Amino acid sequence: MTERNAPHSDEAEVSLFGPGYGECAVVHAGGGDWIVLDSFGPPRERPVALQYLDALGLDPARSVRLIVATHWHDDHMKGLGELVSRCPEAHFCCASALGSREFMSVAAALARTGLPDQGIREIHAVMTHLDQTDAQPVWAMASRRIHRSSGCEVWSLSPHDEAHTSFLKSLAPRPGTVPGRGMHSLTPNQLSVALLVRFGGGASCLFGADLERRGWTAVLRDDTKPRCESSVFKVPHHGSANAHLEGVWDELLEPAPIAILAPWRRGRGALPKEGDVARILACTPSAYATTDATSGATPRDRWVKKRLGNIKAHITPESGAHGMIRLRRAMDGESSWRVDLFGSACHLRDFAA
Amino acid sequence: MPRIGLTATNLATDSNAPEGTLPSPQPPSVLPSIPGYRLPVRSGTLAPNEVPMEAAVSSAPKDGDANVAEAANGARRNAFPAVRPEVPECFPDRSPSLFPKQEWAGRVTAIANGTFDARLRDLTGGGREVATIDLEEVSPEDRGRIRVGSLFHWVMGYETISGTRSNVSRIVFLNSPRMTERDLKAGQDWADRLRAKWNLD
Ligand SMILES: [Zn+2]
Repeated sequence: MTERNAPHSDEAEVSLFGPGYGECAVVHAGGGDWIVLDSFGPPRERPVALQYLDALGLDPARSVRLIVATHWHDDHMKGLGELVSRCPEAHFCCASALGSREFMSVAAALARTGLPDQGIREIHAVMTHLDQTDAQPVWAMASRRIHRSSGCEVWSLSPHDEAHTSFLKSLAPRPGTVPGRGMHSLTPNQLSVALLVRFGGGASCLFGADLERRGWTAVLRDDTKPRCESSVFKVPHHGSANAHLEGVWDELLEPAPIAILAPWRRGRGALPKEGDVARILACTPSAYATTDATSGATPRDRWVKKRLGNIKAHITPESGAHGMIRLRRAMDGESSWRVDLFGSACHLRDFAA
Repeated sequence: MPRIGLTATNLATDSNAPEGTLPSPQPPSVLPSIPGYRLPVRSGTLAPNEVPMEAAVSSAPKDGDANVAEAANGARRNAFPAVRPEVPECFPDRSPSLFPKQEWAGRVTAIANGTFDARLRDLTGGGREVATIDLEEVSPEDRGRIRVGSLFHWVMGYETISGTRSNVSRIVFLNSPRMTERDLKAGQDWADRLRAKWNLD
């Protein structure tokens, strides 16, 4: 068995990729149908989801049925435009707020000026592509089934109306401000699309995106969501404490589920922190990270290294060591998930926070 | 070449360095090769063979991978049909006696707690980096220009003035493009047309 073997038709797969800045998950929904959540790719390379499916000998153009953009932060969006254009059979799904006149106008205006960050640029590119191909997004919102195939169904659990409305308010031009300026200061985490993937045999996975505590409180309160306890949890917001809610572990997950996360590292900031690792391990002993947090420093002239030590700046390579957590299990029966770690992926207890 | 940046700051020793007209720095003409994406198999619950996941490395730049150095140099790609990036065409001038040892082109991605985060393109060694930089590393008069999306040029090196050599680290911000009413109107038109097509009204 190697990572190059595609799963059997009746085998579910959940794979999470992350180099330390970037997150992408691919899901085999059974019957050769694949779902991709978010995107990243190493510099000047194709999105990792395309590379992985290629490596399995699969044609993304025929096998990907659904692509979800959980929110438009850079670390979840890189290569999304290319991914969507290479997967013509896939529906594209994002938060309904992104279809608002406010968001679309400002995104397009920012794109004209060359101002937008990568995330907004990718969303704008995807919408431009959908326009050209006469397709349109599937809008995610609380408790909505966004996809169904013979092997699985996918529900969006967020964002709720409150997050949607406050987002639109924040986009409204205010006197004396530059239109669209607010776009940059918004935290799209509150609009993250958390997803529930239910496989045919009864297993299910909860993908937390970067949804923070307020969003989870709304998810827990919502009594229209499907009732089930997931055996796999993509821990929200890279393990951050601001996305942790006991109720999520108590009500939406099986006891001691498999927890997977992609760490986040940006300059001086890093997630998960030491306390986050301890907290997650107290919730479940089966927790894994896509990378062990070791990031090689850029090789550099000694003179420069010394000077860099004297100034107030912290520099890290954009992409650290790549890793993948892969979970597979037979769709029917009582089988359990098999965990394989590749590249720099590690058990969370070995993660150097 | 007109100066488009603003006052440079000399953080190491000399805050009154003369400004001159050296040609703009260029990124390396041949980009260093970036190895293909590989996932060497490591320990798992199974014991997979040592087979890397080979992946093709396309030689052409990717649309979604627009980078700040090329943007700052005006060698920009028309990544998306509707995108019309308007960024300054050149780097600021710098002192004729400045000898750079390390240069980056950067784009600000976030500002918080007296620091800003940026994506960097290493113009000296190649490669992409990210940084958290203290606002103190930017001259006081330049700090007002720091916005998410702002482009800057960062040079470290040494400078010789009247025979005295001093170390310098300068972060110089380029004038950011501004959104105009015309841009906003065009954005609204695009949104209205697409939203009507998608039956969102
Ligand atoms: Zn994130």
